[in-house]
Formats: sequence, structure tokens, C-alpha cells
Amino acid sequence: MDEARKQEFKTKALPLVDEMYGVALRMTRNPQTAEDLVAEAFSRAWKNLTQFQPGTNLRAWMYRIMTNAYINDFRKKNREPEKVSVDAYEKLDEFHLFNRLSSEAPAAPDPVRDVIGRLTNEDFRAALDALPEEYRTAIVLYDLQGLSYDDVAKALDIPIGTVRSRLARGRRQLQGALYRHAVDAGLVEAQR
Amino acid sequence: MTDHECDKILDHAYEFLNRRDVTPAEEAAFRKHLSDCPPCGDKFEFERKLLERLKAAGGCQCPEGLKARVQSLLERI
Repeated sequence: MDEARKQEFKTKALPLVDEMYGVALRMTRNPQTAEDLVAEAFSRAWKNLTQFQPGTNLRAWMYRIMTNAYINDFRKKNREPEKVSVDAYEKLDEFHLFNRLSSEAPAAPDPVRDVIGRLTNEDFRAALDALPEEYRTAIVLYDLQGLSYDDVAKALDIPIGTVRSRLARGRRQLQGALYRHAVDAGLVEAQR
Repeated sequence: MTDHECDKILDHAYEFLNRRDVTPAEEAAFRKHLSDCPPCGDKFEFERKLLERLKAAGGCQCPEGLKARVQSLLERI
């Protein structure tokens, strides 16, 4: 492989280490495993550099390699693959948290937003980490890392429609989980 | 404001929030709707705040050694 191409890869891919670690950490939920996953993704990308089409999106390509490495090797080491369950969350509406808080939060100057302000970072992380992996990965790539639908679809090797439905379901579950954290923290009274 | 119109707009709330996958014309229509429809404006504001918190909470500090590890890995291969 020519040197110019290798050099270009180093210049463009190395700055992605930080954000790829962030995604890997949310995928694996373990700092050491996340580091190993990022290193493995770079190793695979480097070995398969001839497969990368110059001019196409390197970021999406790197995420695709990392996702594949995770699904095929890292996940298996830990446990059985998670299944996305069709459960009670399917019944949640869009804007679940807003709707529930608007109807249930006690009267206060700004009860709805106040609840978001009083949930801790740990509440948000726990809610995110509790999502089924397929939803969590889609949300991390789209909402947290700022990839487009098209790039998420490429990274996960799924159709754009599936990206959208995983995002929608994931956000509903996330809001359901945040609601429970708000109840546990005593920010709202539990309702049936 | 019809419910249908609100649903249609809010269906794309996260695309607008992320400012991705929307055309400038769609964004203009969205902004107009939000200023014309306070309930949608409140919902959107809530989601904006939620996403902001989620991004802040989900971000993390990359370990010092990782970049060096990746760099030396590429040298060795």
C-alpha cells in the first residue's frame, strides 16, 4: 500500500480516537474493554486500508469496523447477545417524559424543566446504559456523536428506516427510564 | 393548529434539534410552527434541554494513553 494513503489515514483517523472511545465506552460499558475495542478497530482498519474508498466517509467506515468488532468478538466474550425486547415501552408515546411530567409534576414555577435540571448526570448515564444495545448504539451515534442517518446506517449496516425506528424506540425507553429515576429521586410522585 | 400538523412537526423534532437531515425550507417551516404553537414550543424546549443533558452526561474523557497506544499500534503493523 502506498505511503501517501497510510499517511492520509493517520492524519484523518487518529483525531477520531477520542470520540470513538466515547462510543466504545457506551457500547461496552467498561473503560478497559472500550480502550481495547478502539485499538482493535484501528488495527483492523489499518490492515484493511485498501478496502477504504478514498473520498468516502472515513468516520462512518471506522464506526462500522468498530461496531463489527464489537458484535463479532467483544460482545461474545462477555455474554449472550442481547435481544431487543418488545415490551411495555412500545406503548410509550413520543415525548413520554414531557407528557408525564406535565400532567403529574407538582405545581411549581417550571416543574417540567426543573425535573430535567435536577436529574443527575449519573441518572442520564444509567438510563442510557440500561437501553438495549441496538437502541443505545443508534442513539450514541446519532444524538451524541452527531452522525447523519446515512452514516449511522452505514456504520451499523442497517437501512435508514431501521435507524429511525431504533432511535424512536430508544428515545422512548430512555424517557421511561428517566421518569423512573425522577420518581426514585423523589422529584415526582409515582403514578400508576 | 391541528393535531396533525403538530404531530408531523414533532415527528422530526430530533432532526431539528440535531440540525441534521433537514433542509433549510423544512427548518424554516419548523421554526415558524414553534413560534405559532406554544405547546409544541414547550415540548421542543423540553427535548432540547433533555438532549443537552444527555450529551453532557454521555460524553467522557478519553484516557491519556489511548491515542499513544493506537499510534504505536499503527507503527508496528
